[in-house]
Amino acid sequence: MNHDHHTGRDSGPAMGFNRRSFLKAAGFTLAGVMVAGCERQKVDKAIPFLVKPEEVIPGTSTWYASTCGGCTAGCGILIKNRDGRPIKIEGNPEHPLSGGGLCATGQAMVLSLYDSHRLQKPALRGKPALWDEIDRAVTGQLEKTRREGKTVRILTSSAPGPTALAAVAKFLTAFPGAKHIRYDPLSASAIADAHQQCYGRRFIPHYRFDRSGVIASFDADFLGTWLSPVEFTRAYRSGRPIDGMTPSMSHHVQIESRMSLSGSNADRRLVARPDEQYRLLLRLTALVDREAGRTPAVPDPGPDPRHEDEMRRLAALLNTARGNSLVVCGANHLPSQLLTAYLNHTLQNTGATVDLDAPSYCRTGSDAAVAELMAELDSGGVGMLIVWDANPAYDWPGDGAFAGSMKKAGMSVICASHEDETSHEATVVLPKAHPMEEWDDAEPVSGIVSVRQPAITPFGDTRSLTDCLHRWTGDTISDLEAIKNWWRAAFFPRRNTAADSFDTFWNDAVYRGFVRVNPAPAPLKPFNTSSLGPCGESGPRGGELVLEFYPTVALLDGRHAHNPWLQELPDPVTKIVWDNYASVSPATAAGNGLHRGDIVHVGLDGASLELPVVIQRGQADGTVAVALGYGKMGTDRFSSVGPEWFEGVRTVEPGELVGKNAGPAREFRDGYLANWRTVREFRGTGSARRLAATQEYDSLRMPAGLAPPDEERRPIIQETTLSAYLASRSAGSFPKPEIHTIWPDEYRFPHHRWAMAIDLSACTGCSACVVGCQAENNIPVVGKDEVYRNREMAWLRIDRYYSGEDGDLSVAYQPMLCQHCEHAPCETVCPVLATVHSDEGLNQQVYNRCVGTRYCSNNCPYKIRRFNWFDYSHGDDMQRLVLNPDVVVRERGIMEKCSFCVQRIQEVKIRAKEGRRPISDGEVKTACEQSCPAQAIVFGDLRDPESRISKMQSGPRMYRVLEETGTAPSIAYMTLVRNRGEEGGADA
Amino acid sequence: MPDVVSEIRRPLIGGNKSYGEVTREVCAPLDRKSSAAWWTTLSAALAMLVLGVVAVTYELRTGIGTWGLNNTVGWAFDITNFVFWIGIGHAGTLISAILFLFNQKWRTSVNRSAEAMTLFAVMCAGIFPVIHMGRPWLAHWVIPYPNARGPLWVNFRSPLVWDMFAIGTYFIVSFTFWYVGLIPDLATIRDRATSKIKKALAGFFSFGWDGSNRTWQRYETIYLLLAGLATPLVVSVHTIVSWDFATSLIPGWHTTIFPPYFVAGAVFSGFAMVLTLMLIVRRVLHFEDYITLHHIGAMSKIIIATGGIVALAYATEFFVALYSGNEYERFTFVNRALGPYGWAYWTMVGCNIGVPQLLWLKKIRSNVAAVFVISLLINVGMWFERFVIITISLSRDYLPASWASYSPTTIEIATLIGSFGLFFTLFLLFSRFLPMIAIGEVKGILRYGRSNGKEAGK
Amino acid sequence: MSRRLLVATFGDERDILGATRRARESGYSILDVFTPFAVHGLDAAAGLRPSRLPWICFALGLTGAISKLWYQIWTSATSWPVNVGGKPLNSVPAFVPVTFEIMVLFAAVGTVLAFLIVSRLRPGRKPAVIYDRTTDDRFALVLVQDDAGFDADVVRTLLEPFGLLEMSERIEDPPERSPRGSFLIRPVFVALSAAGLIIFAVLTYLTPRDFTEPNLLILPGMVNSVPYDPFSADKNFPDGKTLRAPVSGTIARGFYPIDSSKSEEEATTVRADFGKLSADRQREIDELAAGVYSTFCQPCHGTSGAGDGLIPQHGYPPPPALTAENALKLEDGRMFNIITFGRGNMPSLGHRISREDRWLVIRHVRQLQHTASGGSGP
Repeated sequence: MNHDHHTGRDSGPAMGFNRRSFLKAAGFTLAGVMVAGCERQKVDKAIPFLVKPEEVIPGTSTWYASTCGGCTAGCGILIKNRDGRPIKIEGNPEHPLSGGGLCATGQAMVLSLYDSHRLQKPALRGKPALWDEIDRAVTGQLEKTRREGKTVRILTSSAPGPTALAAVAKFLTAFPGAKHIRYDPLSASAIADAHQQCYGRRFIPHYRFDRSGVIASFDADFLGTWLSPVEFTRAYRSGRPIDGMTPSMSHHVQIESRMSLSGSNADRRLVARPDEQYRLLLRLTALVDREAGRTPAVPDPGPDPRHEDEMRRLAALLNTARGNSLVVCGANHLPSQLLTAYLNHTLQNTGATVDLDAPSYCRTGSDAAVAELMAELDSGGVGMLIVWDANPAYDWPGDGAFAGSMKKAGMSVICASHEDETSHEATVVLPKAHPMEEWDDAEPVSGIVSVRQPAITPFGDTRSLTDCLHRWTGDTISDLEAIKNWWRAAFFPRRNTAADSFDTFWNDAVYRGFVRVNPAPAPLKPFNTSSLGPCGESGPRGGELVLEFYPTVALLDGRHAHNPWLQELPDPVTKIVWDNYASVSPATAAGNGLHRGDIVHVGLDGASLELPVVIQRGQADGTVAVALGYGKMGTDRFSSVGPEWFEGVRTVEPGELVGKNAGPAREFRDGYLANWRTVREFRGTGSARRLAATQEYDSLRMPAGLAPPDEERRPIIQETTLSAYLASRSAGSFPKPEIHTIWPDEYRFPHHRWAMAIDLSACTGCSACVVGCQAENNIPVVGKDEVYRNREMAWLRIDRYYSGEDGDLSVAYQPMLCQHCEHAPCETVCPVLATVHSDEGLNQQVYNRCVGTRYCSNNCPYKIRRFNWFDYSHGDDMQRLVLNPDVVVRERGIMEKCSFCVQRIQEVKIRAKEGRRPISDGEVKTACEQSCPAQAIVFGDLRDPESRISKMQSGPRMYRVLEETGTAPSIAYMTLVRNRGEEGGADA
Repeated sequence: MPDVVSEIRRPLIGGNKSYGEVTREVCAPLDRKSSAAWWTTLSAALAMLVLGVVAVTYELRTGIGTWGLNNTVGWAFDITNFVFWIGIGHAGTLISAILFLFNQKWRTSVNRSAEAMTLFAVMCAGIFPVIHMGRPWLAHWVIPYPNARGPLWVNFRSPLVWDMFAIGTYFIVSFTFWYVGLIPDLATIRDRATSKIKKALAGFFSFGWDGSNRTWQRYETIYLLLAGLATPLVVSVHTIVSWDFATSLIPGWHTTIFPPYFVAGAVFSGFAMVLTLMLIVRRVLHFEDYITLHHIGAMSKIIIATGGIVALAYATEFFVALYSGNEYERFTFVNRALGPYGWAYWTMVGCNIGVPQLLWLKKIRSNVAAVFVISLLINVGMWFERFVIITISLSRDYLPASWASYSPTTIEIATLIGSFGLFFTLFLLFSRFLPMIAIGEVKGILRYGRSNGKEAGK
Repeated sequence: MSRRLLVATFGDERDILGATRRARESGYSILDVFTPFAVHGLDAAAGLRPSRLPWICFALGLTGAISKLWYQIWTSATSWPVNVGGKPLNSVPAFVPVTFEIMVLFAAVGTVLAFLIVSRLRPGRKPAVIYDRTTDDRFALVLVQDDAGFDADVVRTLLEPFGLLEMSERIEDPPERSPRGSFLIRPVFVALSAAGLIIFAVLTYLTPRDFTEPNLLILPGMVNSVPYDPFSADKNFPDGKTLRAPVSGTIARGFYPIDSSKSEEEATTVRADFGKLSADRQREIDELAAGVYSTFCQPCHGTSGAGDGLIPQHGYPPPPALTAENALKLEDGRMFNIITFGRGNMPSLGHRISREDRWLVIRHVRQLQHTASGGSGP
């Protein structure tokens, strides 16, 4: 099999390798090209089932409810199976947490399934081995460990579900002093510890943004990457019902240093360096206490000149919104988290917006425990180390620190999906199955238990953690049985459904993907202010320049670094792909004489980084922000992604990795993985690197000197504030242009009139829709150079515009896709009728008729058409399994664009026709609409006056982009409303 | 015969020639062995051509991606070259048709080569719409022919289809026009040819012309008719080309003054190219008596005139943009002059408006070298005009998020060079194997300006 | 018949003009005048009527314009009507440019062809050169003797004043087109082309071809699917199939494990759902049901459900009649299970008939029973 993964130039039979080589042979003549293009029709063998299973109907899809394994948030998913293999993942609308939405990473998981670089077989001391040998080696070592009185350590992420945990517990009992350590690279360990101190149990509460009228977030990117972003986004959205009977919106204040996704969506955004935030938190606590007429429970650091007013405002708001406000903090710093817990307690949010009884299990790791483990390893007391779904050698502070300690273990058994930094050093390497390949379960939030059922038999010779541990303690039992047994014991008794038999209970759970049970009783000791002891007057102070670490929406802690869809997903804020970088504020950049792309040397105590600079508006001066999850072993595979031609530049040079790994540069401080540290040295190296971004120009304001008077800002985005909107529903609306045309409008749409509405107030820019569209419509990955040349192929892009001053910068996101104009400029100019209008209002692109003049694209005012500049590869034979058979893969030289997911429309129409029934509203969902956690996108039929779309398109916030050009777009946008918190604004 | 030169009508052809001399001198280059200079220039031109062929083949094999285009700038060098070459072509038709209708007798010494230039320029132009397609092997789909796809026809609302018809018609008619004019001269060559092959060939292609008075009469009639048809045709062709842009809605393209603006520009650049070529031909083939300073002067004046129109068009564009009150339109034009591509804009203005003003001076007009340089600069300027209109307008249109910049790749530059290679190759071959000057027509005006001819000329 | 011709040559356009005029005035009949270039006024001097080519030109132009306009309207509005950018099917204003171009094309090319035809000009035609310098610098006036009073000397004196260079008498046939005609119709040429064709044909016939090979596609474009087809071979999987069987124990949406005991409850709900439907929806449903029955059941159970389908007729043991007593007593749920899992000779149809359709079949069977028992069924 061609292991030139995702870069195999042969994207399928149509462009076989023979033709390619023949092309080379063919002379420099057009005739040569034509001749080279000839090929014999291929002869296909049809290989059907012997006995067809009921579920699999060739050419149609079946859906499996399951649980996402992209991160530990455990969102409910529906896996779309075609011919018995998964081709797409969508959110499970019934799921109590994610409720139908799914993030970009979750959607991209389906591609990882067909990654030919995944480990397929176990290996012992670097050599491929059979499981028997592995088992013998491991059990032998375990015996040895027991004899020598050494200890057994199991290190995992927070991923293991209830059954796996049970198996672990059972396994540990077999070995005296054995321990299970949990490690989250994106650690929330301080939150858990804080609650340990305050309530006597170590847990992370379940934050309920949907119930919160006032949200104060200290550097917690809850819409982007913090804990459970999809659930939070959905909740956040439902807490802002603008189109309700009485328009209301939660008021969201974000205090942060870098421009995060949450910050860019906040109603008010205070810019503060990470080491200032603790003081602000202290101040806020003191102010809140005073407001409530109490003496502050913590020392008052006094006002911070820049933010005092805002802090007072916020304190007042929080107090008025007792019981429905929420304070969250992203800092992995105990005192900060103690204050947060205290604030939520004193504001009576516990039990309301902060659920303590049914806590969240999505981050159970403890940083201290990992540090302890390393100490044990160094002491040589560990006879057996089992690492499952964790890569500390990659992301634990100190370059190679963990790897070094690990070598001192009697034996190290690593289970990993790819060869990675940790498995590299291990005695035994076990292949980790893809979450869609094995039976598993999860309990992201106490009482919400979900099943993970496999959608395909494993590609590799893999075993689950449960299975391994069982075998090593001498009993063999299938995963399915193990899970059923545990559920029968643990959850069936706690059921709150009427299910009488366990089989029904189980089947329902598998069928729906999850089941609600009564949360495990968890006695808490009452909150006690004395536990605020550690909250000293002054928090840690950084030098004049501090380095902040953050995860990106796409790669998170780097677990998705092998996924090209995510590598090429533009960062929601910077729009940069295929790289991480040192992001600095304009002032800081100017101060150091740096320009975008200059490579800087970031010197730290005992570590250093060299990264290209990106100048980010709205970032705190004196901070450098760098993304985690890059520079992962094996990403040099992408050196040949994208087209190859003599002026083309490789995505990464062979041997070079995608981005730089910032993990080892992190600092383990006061028992926690600190998310920032002091920079000792910061200087340009003189060299530069070109960064590929999908957006070159940042703002709706015209460049200085080119803007005609009073036309500095373009009317592309309608925005207003809540108070203005309450005063007048038409606030912020552009004047309706009148259109003059010589043409009579003679087209009626007899059956349907498909249209879309996009609510700019709801859209957070999370980019889930972008990947959803890519998966649904077979959009190729084109590589860094092509993106650099503005040739990205994404049918749906999210335009990001800044406005306002750097102090108070506001950001607007605008998903931009084919507007399916009723008077489409592209159609009129196509010479060969390759793009025409359907009688259902769709602007159709007829691929096999297109000759590729690009006139349509030139004439498109939205520039959403995408041209196949080359034969873009769709990866090797394995990768091609992910392609959606309903959507043709476009060849070189033709135009493509958003089709409103016409294949999905057709599918629904056929189903309706089979049942001789009309199509019901909302039955057709486009991929982007389906994936949106914030339900910002609505698709439907304008001919049905009762449909949601009809209502929205007649709503007061509706407007169409560039309507004055007379294109009559089918997509309506909804005014972006911000609750700036003026009088009457913050409704609490 | 006695030959007093009148004051009012200066003779168009110098050197007081007899019919025989005209025949001999014009046919001289055909009889001579080809010179070393000719061989060197030809091989140079061929080299350029080959370079172009290589570039185009690489593009066809690899994809349009080998050009510097992107999602925002879908056309740049390709269509710029197309419009440029079409423009060049226009001078030929103008000289042969419009000047004929206006009874400008001096045209006779240049029309043959000007028309040839038209043909070659149109050939060069015709290449680009084909190779700029993503799938050029399907280019024939632009032609509405009965087919098994429905039959699925073409979109007659698309300016590109109009282009196809306009360019096609233009080429065919120009060729017919040129060839009809060539027939009598071929007969002349036939009758004076010594070598058998030459006689046979000339004989075959001269259609058995014998100079009968009846034929001459009909010939004159259709010549007039063709001129009458070619005149609106040449105007329509560049009008339609300009509609490629005028009918779109990109600010900077969507402009109603484009048709006259483009036609004037075409004539402007065309005459510049005619001058460039004629000045060389005149020198190399010793046609000083046929292409006199009078001719150069006349063409220079046309250049000043058309250049003036072009200048006016530039000004009008800005005014209309300003006056329209359309912010996108306004921005586009400010951006043209002051934006990242300002240098291209100012090159255009300098070459098209600044330089030609020198031609007001008789001194310059009568200085062959100066005129030559100016004509070259004008061609540069006119190329940039098309680049400015097409590329700058596209690179920054409506949504700031989709703004992008453009820079050409080596392939594109090689393709441009190749088109010049093709043009010069063809012209050199023409200069070697066909009479560069319409013998018959020149004889017709030989008496012009010689006073004692009561029926001189006409 | 041969005639006497007088060929008088001159060296200047003015002379030939004068001479021609004089000759005509004095009543000589001019056969033709040959000149190296178009001498203006000579046609008048020789008394030629103006050409009628302009009319041809006009007619052709008109034809071109009208036909093209019709063609555009027909193709865009009648032959293949499609909504393009919301413009009307017949957008006449947009059709003007092409109409104009075609008009010019027809007029120009047509006129030139007409000219060549009427003046008998065509490739390879042998010119009738009466005097070999008429295409260079000589003007020849050709007079034909048509009456007795034709004296060469008189003519000479008549033309002398016009600088007559020389004058010759000839007795010959008037210049006419050469008997051999165009080379295109010369036997040699015809023979050669025929031979060429034959050779080509023979070669094509002789070239070895393998008719078992599939057709050759030129630049097939997107003919072949890049995504895997359901039945195609697939080397990603050990069994070489693209089709995968679901993992055991998994439950797909819409395929809740069938629990025989549950079927009856389901049946009641289904019946209830059917009951809710409007009358004409019911009718539609019945059609659907009949369709499913005839596809899957009729072959054995027969149209009426009597068990007299085609297959039993060919010897397969006939199934019990669906209208029989025990079939009437059979509950829907039970019947559902039988269809799903099969019984006796009846194969399981669970994987072939979707669950909804199974309920439809049952509905249809009930109706069959109803009609069979004279409308007094359950």
